[in-house]
Amino acid sequence: MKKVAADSRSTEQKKTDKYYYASQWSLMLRKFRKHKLAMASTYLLLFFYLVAIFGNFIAPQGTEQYDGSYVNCPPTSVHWFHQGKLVGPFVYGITTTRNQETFMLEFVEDTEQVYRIRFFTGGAPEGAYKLFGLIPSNRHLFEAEGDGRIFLFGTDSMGRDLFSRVVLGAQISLFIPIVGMLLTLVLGLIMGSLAGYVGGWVDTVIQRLVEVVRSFPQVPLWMALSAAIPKTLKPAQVFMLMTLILSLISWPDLSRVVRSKFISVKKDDYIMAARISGAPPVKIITRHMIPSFTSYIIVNMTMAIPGLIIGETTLSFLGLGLRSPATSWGVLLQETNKLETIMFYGWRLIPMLFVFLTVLAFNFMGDGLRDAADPYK
Amino acid sequence: MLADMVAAGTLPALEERLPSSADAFVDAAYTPADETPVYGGTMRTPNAGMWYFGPICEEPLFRLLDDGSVEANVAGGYDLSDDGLVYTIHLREGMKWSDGTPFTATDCVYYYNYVLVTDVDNETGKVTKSNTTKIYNWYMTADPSDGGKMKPAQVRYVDDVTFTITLYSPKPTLLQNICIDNKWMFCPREWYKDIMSNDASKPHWSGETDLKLIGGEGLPTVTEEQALANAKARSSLYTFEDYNRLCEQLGYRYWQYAGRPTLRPWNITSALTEQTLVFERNPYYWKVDAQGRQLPYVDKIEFVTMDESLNTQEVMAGNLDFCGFGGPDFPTYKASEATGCYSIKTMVSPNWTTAALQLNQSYKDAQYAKLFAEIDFRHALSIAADRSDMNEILNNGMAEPQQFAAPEGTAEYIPGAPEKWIELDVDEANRLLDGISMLNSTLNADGYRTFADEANAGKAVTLEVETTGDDWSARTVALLAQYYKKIGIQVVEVANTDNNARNEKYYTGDQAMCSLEGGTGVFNVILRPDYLSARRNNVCWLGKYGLEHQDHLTPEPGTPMAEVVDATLALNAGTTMEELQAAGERILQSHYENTWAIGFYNDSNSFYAVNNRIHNWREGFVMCDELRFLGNGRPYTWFIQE
Amino acid sequence: MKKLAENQMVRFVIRKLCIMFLTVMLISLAVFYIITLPPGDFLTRYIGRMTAAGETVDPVMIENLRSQYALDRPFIVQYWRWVSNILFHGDFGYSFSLSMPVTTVIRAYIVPTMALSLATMLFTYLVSIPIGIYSAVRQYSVGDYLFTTIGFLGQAIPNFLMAILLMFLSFKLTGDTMLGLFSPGMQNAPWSWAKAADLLKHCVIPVIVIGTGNTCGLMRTMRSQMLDELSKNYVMTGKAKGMRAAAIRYKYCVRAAVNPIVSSIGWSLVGIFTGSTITAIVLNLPSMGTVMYEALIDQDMYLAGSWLFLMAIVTVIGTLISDILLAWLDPKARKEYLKG
Repeated sequence: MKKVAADSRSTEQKKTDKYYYASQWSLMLRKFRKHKLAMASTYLLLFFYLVAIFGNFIAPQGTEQYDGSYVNCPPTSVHWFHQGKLVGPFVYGITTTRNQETFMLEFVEDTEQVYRIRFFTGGAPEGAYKLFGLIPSNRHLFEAEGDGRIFLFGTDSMGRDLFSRVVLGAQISLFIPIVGMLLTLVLGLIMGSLAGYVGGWVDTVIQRLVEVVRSFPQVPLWMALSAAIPKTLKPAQVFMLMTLILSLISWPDLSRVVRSKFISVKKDDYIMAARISGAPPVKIITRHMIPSFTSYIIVNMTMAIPGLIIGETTLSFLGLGLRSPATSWGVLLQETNKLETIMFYGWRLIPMLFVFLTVLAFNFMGDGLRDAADPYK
Repeated sequence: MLADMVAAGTLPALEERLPSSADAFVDAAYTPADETPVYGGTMRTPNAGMWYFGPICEEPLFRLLDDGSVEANVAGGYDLSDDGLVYTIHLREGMKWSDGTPFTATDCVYYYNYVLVTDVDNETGKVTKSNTTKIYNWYMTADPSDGGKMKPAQVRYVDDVTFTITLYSPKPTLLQNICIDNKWMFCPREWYKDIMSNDASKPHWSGETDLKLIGGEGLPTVTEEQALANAKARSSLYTFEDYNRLCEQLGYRYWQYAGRPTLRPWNITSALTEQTLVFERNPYYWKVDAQGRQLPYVDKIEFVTMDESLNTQEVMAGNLDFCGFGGPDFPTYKASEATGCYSIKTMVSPNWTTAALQLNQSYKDAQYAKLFAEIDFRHALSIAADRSDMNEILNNGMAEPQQFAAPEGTAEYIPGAPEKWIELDVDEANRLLDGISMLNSTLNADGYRTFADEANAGKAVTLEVETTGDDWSARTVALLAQYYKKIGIQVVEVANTDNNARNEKYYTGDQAMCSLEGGTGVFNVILRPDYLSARRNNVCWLGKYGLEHQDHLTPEPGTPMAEVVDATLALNAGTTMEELQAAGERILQSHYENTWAIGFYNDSNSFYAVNNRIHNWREGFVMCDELRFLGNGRPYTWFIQE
Repeated sequence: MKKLAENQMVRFVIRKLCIMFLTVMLISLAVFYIITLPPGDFLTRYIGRMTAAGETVDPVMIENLRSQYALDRPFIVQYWRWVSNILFHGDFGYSFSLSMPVTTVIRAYIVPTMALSLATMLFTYLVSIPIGIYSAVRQYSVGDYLFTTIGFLGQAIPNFLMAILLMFLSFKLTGDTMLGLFSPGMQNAPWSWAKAADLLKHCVIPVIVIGTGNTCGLMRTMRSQMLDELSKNYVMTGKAKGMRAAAIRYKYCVRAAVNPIVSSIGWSLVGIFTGSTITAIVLNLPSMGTVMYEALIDQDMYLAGSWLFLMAIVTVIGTLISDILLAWLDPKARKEYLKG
């Protein structure tokens, strides 16, 4: 009888039980999943990051393949039917002529020449790259056969394939903010926990420091610090320094959050218990205190990334960040900073769309995480 | 505008403002031919700094014309004594400063004896003090009666419209030098006497006791502190940190300061901090057109400070009346010209090529200095560059490939020089490099050539090209890197946006390895050989061989570099035109033989977008420093008609 | 009782002021350090300028100048020269690139900069608070989604691009790019209604561009605060007692929800002040931002340093104002502050 009763508990009941027995993390996940926009954003970001990781394979060209015959060429259209017959994805040849009055290049599709798009091809030697910086290869996701050219997003003012530059630029623009965020996180956690846990004069000093750093006007400070970056550094070093600068300025916000959390948690019974039982402070902090508000930190950091992405574009715009041929989304945006680009070469604004989507996605994801962070509400 | 002021009694009648009719400057050549000029209006143009707005309004004592001849401008004329030592300069009768006070020879001699040269060490003949921070070497000539000691020229008052310049030995290019360097060889004495330091109790450096002759009559004693205080009391615009600043700013860069009387067509009336600098017409301007109408026609010029990237749209919106641009921007302007309110004017540039790759012959790393001295290395670099591709990508295919040399039709032209080593030939370049014994014949793992000697073994040959960090340079270096990769030479850009830090490096001896300098060449090799001869120090190919620096290097005798230095010394010492010409030709020949700088394509691509309401803008005048840039178009003859 | 509270309030303000002074001094030290970071000094620039203009420079003169400006002395000596002049003489030093006292430069730009910042701030609050309230009250309505999207849009497009896009739009629609604060003819015209209208017209783009960045953030904060308040028990109690919903909302909820926003006024003022830097460059506004940018590039250290320093002071004052406002508005916060 008893057994039957147990078995006959409705599935509804099981669900509720599962809900009540679930851990905090799975509850959060559950709640996060309900936020449709946040979920979509997460998938989008995942996609972007995957593309960036396999960037060298996905991009048909490198960032330094200039071509005088295809300067400012509009996006190539991919066709399926040639003279009413299905030939699969292909592109037509492009005839380039220079307008003898304006000296602008003019591009016309030559519908006589058909170049099929080949996938997973091993192209020309100039297409060689190292996947993840390790594995040498020259296989690309797609390429037009023979002399055909395919520019999905058109080309820039030096005849480089914009699609490739967007994909390869993502490697810098998507990962550097993460590094910056981690740096911020470490700095913020250390400072915040010191201030909150130790208190006393340490707290006072750190609080003053926070106030000093926060009182700095951000943009001029970036400008000042970037002006101090030696002009002769390599792109990667410049970017690391930029990131460092960005995170050196942004840690105080996090440290304030951490500090206030520490102060409120410090008096809780379980911390007291840990202390009485003789646990060393580092253990108390890392094992007991920080986990109690990890979710808040995650939310905070997610919301900080868009700022870092925009910060990078701003610095590049001011000419204080990376310089071409080093490619980041900021560099690409900086190149659109002219009236002629908007007037004649609209496709060169495409990188903006990616900055925009990424920032938006991080914002929505952060929103979702924030709702999910407090799953009992 | 001025007629109203005359009617209101705030300004004297026109006849009283112009020089006497026999002496007025009649600019018939630039008077509008088929149109009747309209007075009034405001021209707007971007503010590209004091060396942009200065020359537009400038009036020099003598002016250099396109063909290199000299025209009397502020001066009415000159006589030269038979021994070539005494220049007698005639001024115009009845000419006035912009505040209405008379302009006389006293203003010229005062300028030379109290402002330009304030004190001279009579033992050495060296000028020890100047109130303009600027002393010109060519005023110094050797005194044969005193063991060839270099002494500054003597400048003396004769009468109100005459003064003399006396040299110790002949200087055939003195007037041209005045045109180029000391354009403003005059200043309003009455305005300056309280704000330039002067010790009236001390004998004058020139030994002249009749103060009238040197413009010193009745000058008060003014200490540097008093001068600073006097200037500050006169206007808040003249507040300077110290006396040196005052000299530099009010003594030399005076056209930036409202209130300073000038002889210019327009004078600044706004403070330098303003975003828009306003220049207003000088009611006492002394030039008239062929019909005797007083110039200029336009009332005001506004120089608007703005980011360069905004120029295009402001021109298209009709908010700028004239604005310069280069070949890369041509399509943008051209495509909207028909529908816009402006037309494109092509300018003539004396520059030999747009940019030239220079290799520092005295680079601190001896390996590289040795490599750069190899002519085969420069040859290889020159023929490995795909000039037509560069032209297509960087310049919309508008230029012609060319070596760093004077183009045909100029006085400096050497047949064959512009075409030397410009044909793309990567195989030949590789062959040339293979023949250089200090390089290994095999490439390293990255595909670059390496040094052969033990100390540097395995080090890839890497050219660090310093640039101004602008877009165009970055793009040029990027292309060069691609071309030179094919001959095993690595190229990296060292973007040094700091113009001045770049120059400073030349003075501290820490010079760049290579540089990519835009717009180099000369107007005239004898008058201004700065970038071709060994005279200066801030020229990359020359490096530390430049004579200007006190610790300059002396090249090994017999080397090509020794020839450059020798020819430069001959140019400095020449006292006859023949000597100067011979030295100039040696310098040009050395460039032809050695290709010290590698040019890529010609620089015929300087343009101005000029609003259609601006009339009488002459097509295609020469734009260069010596001819005072836009000033060479005689802006005072432009007029506005909607 | 009230007297006591006032006393405490005064003490609180005085203590805050002391801390503020300390902070400002620390900031000045940091500012000076940062502006002396780049290699070279303004004399380097000076030589460059002279040689670029085809002039020659006497190395001896440069060395003299260097010692005259104490550029050859240790950092701390230079710092003390600068800061003691500010403290005791109100002298911010000398702008080398403009050849005039820094005070003159700042005086010339402070008014337009402040005016623009205040206009933007007004815009920010006038737009974000009502929209925030609306979005909260009508949560998940079409309007809410619309404003949320616009809000995120504003945050996701970098300011400079937005400025360029709006400029282009304006050029296409009106034939003018609306650069600067006045049209060409109006710049030097005497004040009139037409000039004022012209100014307003030219303010539209900058205010939108500078404003949106902040507006979006504030809008979101206001919305979430308001949602929090609306779900609290007192709202239910009020309703149960028969109060009108609107009265509860506007009399109690808004007042409580607006607290965090008030407390951030200080920060947002600075955000706007400096956020305008880039927009000012793009739109050619006569703001200090443009001058600051040039000064940094030129290594005009006193000008750049003084401006950074002033900005920092504005922030510190802003924080103080926020703290006082909060203490005044929010009894809970007041109690906490007064305790120390």
